[in-house]
Amino acid sequence: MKDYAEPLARLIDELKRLPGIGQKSAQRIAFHLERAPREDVERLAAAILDAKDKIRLCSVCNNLTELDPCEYCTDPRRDGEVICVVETPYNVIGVEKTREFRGQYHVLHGVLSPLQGIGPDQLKLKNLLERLRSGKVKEIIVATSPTVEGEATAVYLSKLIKPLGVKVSRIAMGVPVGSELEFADEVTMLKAIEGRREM
Amino acid sequence: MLTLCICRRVDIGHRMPLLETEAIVLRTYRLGEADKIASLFARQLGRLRAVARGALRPKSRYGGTLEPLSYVRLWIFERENRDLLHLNSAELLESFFDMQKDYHVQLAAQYLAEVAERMLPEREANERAFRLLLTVLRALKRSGEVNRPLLYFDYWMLRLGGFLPDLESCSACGRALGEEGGYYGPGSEGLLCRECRLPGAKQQVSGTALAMVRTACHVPLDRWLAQEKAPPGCREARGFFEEIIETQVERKLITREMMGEEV
Ligand SMILES: [Zn+2]
Ligand SMILES: [Zn+2]
Repeated sequence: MKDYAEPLARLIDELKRLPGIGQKSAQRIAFHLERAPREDVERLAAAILDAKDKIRLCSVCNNLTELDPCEYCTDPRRDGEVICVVETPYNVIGVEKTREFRGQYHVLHGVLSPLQGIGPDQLKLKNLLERLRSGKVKEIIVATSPTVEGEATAVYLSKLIKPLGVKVSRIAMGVPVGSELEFADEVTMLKAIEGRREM
Repeated sequence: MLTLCICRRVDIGHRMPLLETEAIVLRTYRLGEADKIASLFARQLGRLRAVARGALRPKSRYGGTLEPLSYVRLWIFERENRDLLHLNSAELLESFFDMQKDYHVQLAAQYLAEVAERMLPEREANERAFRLLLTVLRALKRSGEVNRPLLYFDYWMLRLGGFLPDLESCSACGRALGEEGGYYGPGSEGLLCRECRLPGAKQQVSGTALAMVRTACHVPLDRWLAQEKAPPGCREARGFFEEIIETQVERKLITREMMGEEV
């Protein structure tokens, strides 16, 4: 005999596929949803589908957005001469929290990682180069993680971009080597932006 | 005198003996929110995987020690009835972080890690393979050259694993290969002469390249690198050895394919 009725087992299986959710958490969430009023569950299901349907990548910067181009790319108060290059949309939020950066963003959706089959062709670089060729951009701040992969990506970008006459700097101080940027606190992130260096 | 294959056990509690070992970090995977799993080649324990709690946090005690290809000293413990080992602490002995800033060198370094991960059996100490990996990493770091260090690594990994094919005669009929060299293709375990060549064996490795390997890979790598530049035939020979490695590990190497795209 199975532990759970088929529909419940299926729900638990689907939940387990989410990041950071193991068997126990999946069971807890599934039982919670079973007990919850139908309207609550409907609202959750609708929110998931709504986000899935309405969120896309900004055609300019590759950030997740409802409107294309995204609000960072269209906000006239933001400085279009400086672009901060990050690994994931999550990192945009990290930099924003400092309230110190008023430029625009570019999301690579990854870093160079040969063992995972991620080379330059797998990164979203094409539209970055298009932005640079427009001549408006004066500086690129590379805010990839201070890991082997993040550094290799930064150096690769620098070699690619510098010949176009654009200044390239790299975040430095404040983020310890080997850590992932999304775990950096706001102060750490602020230090990182202040301490950027030219490459 | 080399380190003996005995681990010093430091007991921190009666249930958790700590094992001390040197190791090279092959790669790390993210585990949950803040932990890492490190795939390691430990000098005294062989290839293994261990969990490093909190390693992704900025203020983690591991700092940059667990970055790919770091040469480290580790303290590991094993919980009863669990397959995964746990790291207690790590100390950086030698970093290969900076050299990997160059994408080509990063690619080469990760190739070493991928081959080591695929070819080395789990939990089997292998002192010669450990010294080989360390030697090749240091050569890569010092020279920035990819060709000779990788060829040297391929040759010796195959040889230490007992998979090195005969480089002088046809694996089917035994005839001497001579100047023409031999033919191979996907799935090959050795070289074939023109007569025995199968339709799939489309690649050729010349007699000159094979002769070069037989001498060059038998001097210390540093001495070979001191000679001005890589001899012709390095890439040719690497192509052959990489094919043999793929045959032995029964899969395509991701980093090999990516290096192919770079050339
Ligand atoms: Zn945008
Ligand atoms: Zn033959």
